[in-house]
Amino acid sequence: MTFLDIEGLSKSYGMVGALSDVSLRVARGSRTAIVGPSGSGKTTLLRLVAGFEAQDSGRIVLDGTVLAAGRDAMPAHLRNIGFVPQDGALFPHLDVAENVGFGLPREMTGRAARIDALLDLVELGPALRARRPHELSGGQQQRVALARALAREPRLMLLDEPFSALDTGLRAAMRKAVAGVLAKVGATAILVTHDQTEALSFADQVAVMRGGRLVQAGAPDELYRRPADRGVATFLGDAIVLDAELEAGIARCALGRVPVDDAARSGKAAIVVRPEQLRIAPAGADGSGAAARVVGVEFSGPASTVWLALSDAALPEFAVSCASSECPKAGRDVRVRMEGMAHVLRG
Amino acid sequence: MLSNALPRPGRLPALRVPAAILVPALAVSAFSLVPLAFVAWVGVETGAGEVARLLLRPRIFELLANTLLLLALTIPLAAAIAVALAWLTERSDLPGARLWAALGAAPLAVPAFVHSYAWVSLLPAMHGFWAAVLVSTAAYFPFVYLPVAAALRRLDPAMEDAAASLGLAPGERFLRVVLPQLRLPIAAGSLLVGLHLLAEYGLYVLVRFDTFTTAIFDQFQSAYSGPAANAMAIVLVVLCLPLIAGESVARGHERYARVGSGAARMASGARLGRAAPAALAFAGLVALVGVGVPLATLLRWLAIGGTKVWQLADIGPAVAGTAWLAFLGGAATTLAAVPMAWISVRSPGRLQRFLEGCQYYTGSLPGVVVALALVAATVRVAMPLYQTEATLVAAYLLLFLSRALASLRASVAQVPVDLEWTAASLGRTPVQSIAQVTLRIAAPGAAAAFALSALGVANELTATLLLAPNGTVTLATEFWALTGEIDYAAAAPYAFLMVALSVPMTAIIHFQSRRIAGR
Repeated sequence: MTFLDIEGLSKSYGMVGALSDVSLRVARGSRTAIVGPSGSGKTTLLRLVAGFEAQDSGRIVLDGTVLAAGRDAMPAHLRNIGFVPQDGALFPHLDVAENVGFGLPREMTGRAARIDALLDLVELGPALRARRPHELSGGQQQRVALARALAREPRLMLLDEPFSALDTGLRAAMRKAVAGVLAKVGATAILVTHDQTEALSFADQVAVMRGGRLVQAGAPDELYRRPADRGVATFLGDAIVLDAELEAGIARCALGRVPVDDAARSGKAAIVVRPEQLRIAPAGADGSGAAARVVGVEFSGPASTVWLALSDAALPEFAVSCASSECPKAGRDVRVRMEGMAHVLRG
Repeated sequence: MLSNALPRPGRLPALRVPAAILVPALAVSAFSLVPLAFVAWVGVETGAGEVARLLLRPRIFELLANTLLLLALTIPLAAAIAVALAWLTERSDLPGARLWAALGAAPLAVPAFVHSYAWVSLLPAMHGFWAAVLVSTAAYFPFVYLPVAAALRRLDPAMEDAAASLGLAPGERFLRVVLPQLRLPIAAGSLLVGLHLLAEYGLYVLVRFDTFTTAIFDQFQSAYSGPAANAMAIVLVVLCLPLIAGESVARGHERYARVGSGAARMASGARLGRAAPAALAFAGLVALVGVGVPLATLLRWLAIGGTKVWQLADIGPAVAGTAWLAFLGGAATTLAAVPMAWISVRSPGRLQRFLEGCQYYTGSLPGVVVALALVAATVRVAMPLYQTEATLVAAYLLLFLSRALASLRASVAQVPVDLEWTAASLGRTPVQSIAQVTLRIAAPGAAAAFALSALGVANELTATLLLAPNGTVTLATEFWALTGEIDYAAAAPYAFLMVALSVPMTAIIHFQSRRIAGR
């Protein structure tokens, strides 16, 4: 069921349109990732949902409560929406316990116990209670920020690129930890990120934004396999986009005759193939697929990256991953075969 | 479903400004316009014909010539001394450069009228135009020295290297590469000197040189809020306005120049060689005139006065009075600056810049104009406030608001807006977020704002003399009264205390300008 309903949300700063006509639905208890390059409007969308700014038009309804409509907006402090900003943004003048308890009423009974429970939830020991933010590592700061946001049992959690300040190894671990905590408390969450791997692995629903518009939203694997356009396709991972002639579920293209996921369409179209769909076979094995030449090999342990150029088509070189033990040598002629189906782009 | 209680989003573009912040900011900005409104009112009330009759008199032209000549001679002299000293302390191998640099800022710790007192009591024959030029230069050249020295430290020496490789001799390099880049700090500092020359009262009374400010003061004392003093105030404001506008333009550009200074290689000092003794003599002479004479004279009078001039019964009330007014003035000014400082950082825009400009310009107005404006305003509109501490504090607020604003603004800008948002998402109202998070973290800046304005109040003479309720005694007014009776020895303790109070502030300004430059 729809928990958060965003309809036709628009916002501009002076003459600059930051967000135009964005609609998005979020299910209760789900995790949504908003991805897009910088300047795509994803952070603006988050700020409007949080109530830090007022929209120009559109509606935001959270669990039956209208948070925003037209130009009216409920102020942030009345929304009870948790917010984990970039870099954690811990209050530097307060210690860890005071940071976590910032949103809890002073006179609340069992306040200290609640703070302890929250610290425990994010797997921070009680020894850290009295530390100041600058005495914590980046990962610990993020955990404190998460605990602080969860303290008031918010209806919705917003995370604004919360892992971008962490180094690569820590990011994956923190992502898992945060996803675990959110699942444990059953929170509905929206994560903003410019990292597509982060989005695909974190979320139940991914929304891709570009130029202030929401281009496509859906389940991660659905988006990855069936991107709406070339931009989404290349943003979510390596992609080879080919011109093709469609007929009855088969496309004729530079890779030869390949099956596509749209049997109804015919005529000219663009199709997307993911490099991991491609298999390399020795030249002249069985004649299927397309002729190609190995222009370079990059060895990296168990797998190697093979750079290929198609012999019969003026296509840029592309990279295919290949088990190092079966890797062809540079300069060899090979055949490239596609497995599964190619995806037909709209339009 | 949407309740009518939802607030209308504001029309300000960047961030909604809560009414609890916006209304006080508007009120302070409106109040800051009182001096300009006063000038306009004088013009209208008195009538153009009458104003012309009051102003088109030989005496006025004499004053105008005095004032303009003073500016025309003192500003270039101060700028030349400042640039030469700055080059010596920052770009040459002058022995003891750090000491000379500190001595270049030190004259600011001595109030201008104490400079004047030192010279006049040392050489009673010192009076008139040339005395005014000498003492003004000694008291005010640091206003050019500090920004020029800071700019010289920031300049990338690579440009001079490039010029050298293109065949320019050292002198040509200075004139064609270095000096053009110093235009903005020289202009900003010179305009600041000009504003101080226009505003200063005590200095020129002691060297018996009449300027517009001293003449307005005399007029006011002989005939209260008379039309003559008010009409002359119009001229003074007209003289100030171009300097204020120019200064704000130069200051604005200078701020950009600081951005992206990067990690330029530090300049290696030019070798003075056989010129070193002459350079040392120059630096020594500047230090002697700027710091040596005032301090030596002060110490001499203290020695002559001995212990009997340190009478607690006399000095105690003056210290207490100064501390009280400094506290009130500092607190009021800092509080008044908070809303605008927050708005200009969090919600910048054209309207906001205008509101901020209103609060900045009064800091450059002569104390005598601010005082006249408040006298007129209280007499006409709020008679019960006439000659009360409240009016005096209001004058301090107008005079020192720009200092508090600059300091607060810088520290608010260092608090990430994320923190305020987070506080809001945790249930704090906008005003609570600002009070509990932003201001709490910006506390050092607020303390600096308080200190800067309180110290300004502690050394203020002109507005205090004009506005203070009867019976008010401060260090400055007591010093002034005793100097007026030519009791230089008795005045010395008050001067000493004012200098002692100013030393920390001057040290802060000196070290801040060095830190900005990255040293």
